[in-house]
Amino acid sequence: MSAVPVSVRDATGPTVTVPRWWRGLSWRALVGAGGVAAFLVAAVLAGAVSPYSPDALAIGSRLEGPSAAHLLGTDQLGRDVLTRILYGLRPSLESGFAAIMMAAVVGVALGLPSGYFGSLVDTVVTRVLDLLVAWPAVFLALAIVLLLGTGELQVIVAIGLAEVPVFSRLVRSIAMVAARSDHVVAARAAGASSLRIMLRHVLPFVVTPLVVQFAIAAPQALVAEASLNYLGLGTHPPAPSLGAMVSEGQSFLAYAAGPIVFPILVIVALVVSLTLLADGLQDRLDPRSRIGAR
Amino acid sequence: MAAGTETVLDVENLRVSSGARGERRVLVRGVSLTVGRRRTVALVGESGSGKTLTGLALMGLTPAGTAVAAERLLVGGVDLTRMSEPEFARVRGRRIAMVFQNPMEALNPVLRVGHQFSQVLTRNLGVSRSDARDRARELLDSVGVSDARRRLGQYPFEMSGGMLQRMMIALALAAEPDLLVADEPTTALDTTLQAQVMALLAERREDVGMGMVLVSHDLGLVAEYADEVNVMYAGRVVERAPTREMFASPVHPYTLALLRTVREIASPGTDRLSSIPGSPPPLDDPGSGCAFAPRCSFATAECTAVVPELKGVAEGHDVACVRSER
Amino acid sequence: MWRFALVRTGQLLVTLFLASVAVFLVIEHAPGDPAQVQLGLSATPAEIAVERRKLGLDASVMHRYVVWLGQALHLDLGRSFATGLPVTRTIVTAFGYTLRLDVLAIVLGIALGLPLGIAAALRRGSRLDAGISAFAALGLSVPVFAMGTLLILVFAVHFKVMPAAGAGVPGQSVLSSLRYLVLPAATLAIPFAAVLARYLRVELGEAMEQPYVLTARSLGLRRRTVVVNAWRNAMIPTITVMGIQVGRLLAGAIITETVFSYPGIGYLTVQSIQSLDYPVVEGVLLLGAAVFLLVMFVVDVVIGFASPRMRIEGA
Repeated sequence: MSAVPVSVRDATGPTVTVPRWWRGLSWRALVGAGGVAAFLVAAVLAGAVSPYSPDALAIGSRLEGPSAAHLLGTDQLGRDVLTRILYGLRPSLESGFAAIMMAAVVGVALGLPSGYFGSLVDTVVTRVLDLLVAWPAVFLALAIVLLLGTGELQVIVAIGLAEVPVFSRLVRSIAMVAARSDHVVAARAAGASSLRIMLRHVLPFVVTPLVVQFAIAAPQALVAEASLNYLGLGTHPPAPSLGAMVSEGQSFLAYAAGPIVFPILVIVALVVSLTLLADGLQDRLDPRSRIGAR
Repeated sequence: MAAGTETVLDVENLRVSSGARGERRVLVRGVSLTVGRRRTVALVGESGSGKTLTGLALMGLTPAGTAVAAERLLVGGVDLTRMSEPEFARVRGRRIAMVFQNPMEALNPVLRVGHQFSQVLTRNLGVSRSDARDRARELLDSVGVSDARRRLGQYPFEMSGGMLQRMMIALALAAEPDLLVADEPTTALDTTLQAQVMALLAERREDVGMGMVLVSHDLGLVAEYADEVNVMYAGRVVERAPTREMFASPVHPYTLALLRTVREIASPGTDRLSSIPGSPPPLDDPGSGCAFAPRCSFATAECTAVVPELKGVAEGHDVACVRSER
Repeated sequence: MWRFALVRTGQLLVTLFLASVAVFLVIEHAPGDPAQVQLGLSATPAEIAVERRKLGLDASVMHRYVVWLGQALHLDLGRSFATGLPVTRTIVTAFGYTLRLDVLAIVLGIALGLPLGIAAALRRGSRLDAGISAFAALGLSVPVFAMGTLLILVFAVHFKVMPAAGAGVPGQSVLSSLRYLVLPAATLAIPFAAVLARYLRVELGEAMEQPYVLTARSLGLRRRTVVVNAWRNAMIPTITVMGIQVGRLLAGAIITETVFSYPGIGYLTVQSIQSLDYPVVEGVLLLGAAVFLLVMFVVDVVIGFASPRMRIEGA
């Protein structure tokens, strides 16, 4: 993004150059960004912050309520809930990020030639993507787990694949317009190769919408990750994950709500933060388009 | 105004403001109009002069967040100033109606035209649905739409702008109102259609026996169809006169400038439109004194000091300018 | 319009065909040998070979696909490895449960989302609007499994007014079977209502600012008539989004049914995958794609007929 700075010319002051996306972010976006940053720090520092191991069993102190020793209490195996939440944030954030990254990369790889060349390439890509959207995302994830077994990597692939069509269509629609722009036509006339034109002249148009779509997809990916872990298709126990904590705690709901309520609160707070950030970025970067709203 | 004509609109000191109590911004600053039956009174001015807002205020249809006040607002002898919204809704379409600028957007795109006629006619005429269908056909005949039965079964997007404006006129005049507010009724139409639609409005005005407020920036149109002209600038009427008098001996520098732009367009050989230099001030901030002073070539220190009042210079001819007071 | 419907039908059939190939290939490449699964770990290689021939696994992939598709078209999907019951019957039973759940969820979702969306649209910028928007945002931020678990915590564990899981016993009264539906249906209905309210707020709000609304008011129409007329415009884009939401209920059902151990298609899907019950997996994946695509298809056609411009001028 820093490659496309804009000049803000004040009538009285000197010319200031700021990165385009940082200007005029709403307070909501800043709250969202702050929340996301806080969770990131918490996840990274999990080991330094908590005196407990996420897997340390303590049969003597099971399903305890919040106390000075265990701020958020303990779960059915006596493990510290706060510690498990902090460690559980890691797979959520990692998988979510990796999945969208994958979706963006594959989306660009499919969408760019699809929009640029049109015709046959476009038809083939569109048909393949139709197949991906023929199932609700969870079905897709289940099929992938069926093929590859359970695990974090599978979760990433499943979520990433489900998000590919959105990214690809976005890139395709922009590439279609960019392919007809004057400087692309000029570059073609000058004898530049198609690959070079796509990367040098079409891709820059795609960057800003991609950033916005990335932000929009982030909370969705996070929810998907937690859901797949809830279904037991993600990380293998005893490795902590927010979704799995809820599913494990459900059987003990009658005895203690903490092991479920706290992870849920964390997930919701994280999703809300990401959504606020995405809304803010969207308002800031493309006020006319309403990708998220339609 | 000719003696003995019945008055259908009598509005005095109409004001429109927006914003909350603490930071109220005034947009229309005291407009007074009198319209007689079978008479047309024009409101002219540049865009942003408050003429459309004045028209909407007469209808009680100013945008949300605005407030309308007037010493007097009588339509067909009925006082509209103290009406609740449901009461006002009963007056609209019956005593007072409006035709808008863009006929292509004026009708609901997902409802058949016949259905929209039916809604209006059953409400305003109190007729049954089947009677409404017959009435709708008669009304379309009266505005020169042929093949009425087929037209009523169509959607707005299947018709041309001219056709839709005829439909709008038919709807607005269905209940034979006392007053019609026509807001730039031909601006969105082709030149050839403009004359036809204006002629239709004039004809219907005679048949229905209503008064008309014609909101327009087109002085040629006004010269031909209006009996009296009110020139508006920055939310005020700055000059008012019978049409013939206004075009023969305008007084206000703004009116002079407006007329000059028209004559230049009309006279052959000129290819450049010399409009008035500068642009009108925002409605809510006309500056001190006369709002036109910054663009006026006759402006003196006195002009920025006081707001000139409308004062008579001849029979039925009022001007708000310090120069005319001498 | 009919041309459009015809083209869409063609697309639907092509995608369904490709989906069936995909399902077949997924199962084909899934780990575990069905013959081995059938016979258990103690089977000898010879026994497995016999079983493979019996199951038709020794034929070419193409051949087996054609046979499988032919049977599937005759609603014969084989028998469940786990229960030995015909897959079709298992799926039909489960689908009945899911249908009941989804219908109730849609009814609840519309009953909640429609008035909220309309209220927010007609009072845009008010405190009511802000409250409704906040509710909608929260409803969309809480994952389905979390919503379900929280509802269980509050209504089943704390207040003990609703059952926490299952669908009750066969032959129970309608009322008591409804009790089992309330919490899972609410779980699905809340995000549904949130999306509906959000869209209606934007679309109806925009429609109310269109020139035709001013015209309608200038003609003296009642506020109710004016709003209903505008609403008909707002509904066309809203139907599209809600159609997608109905399609997503299926996905939501997988998680919701797991949360509530509710014996519908979603629960069956997860169970069959965990127990490697391939015939059932094939069945639910096929059904999932078919239902989802069909919903999308119906939405497209409904939109086509709801929008006069599309109906008259074609897509």
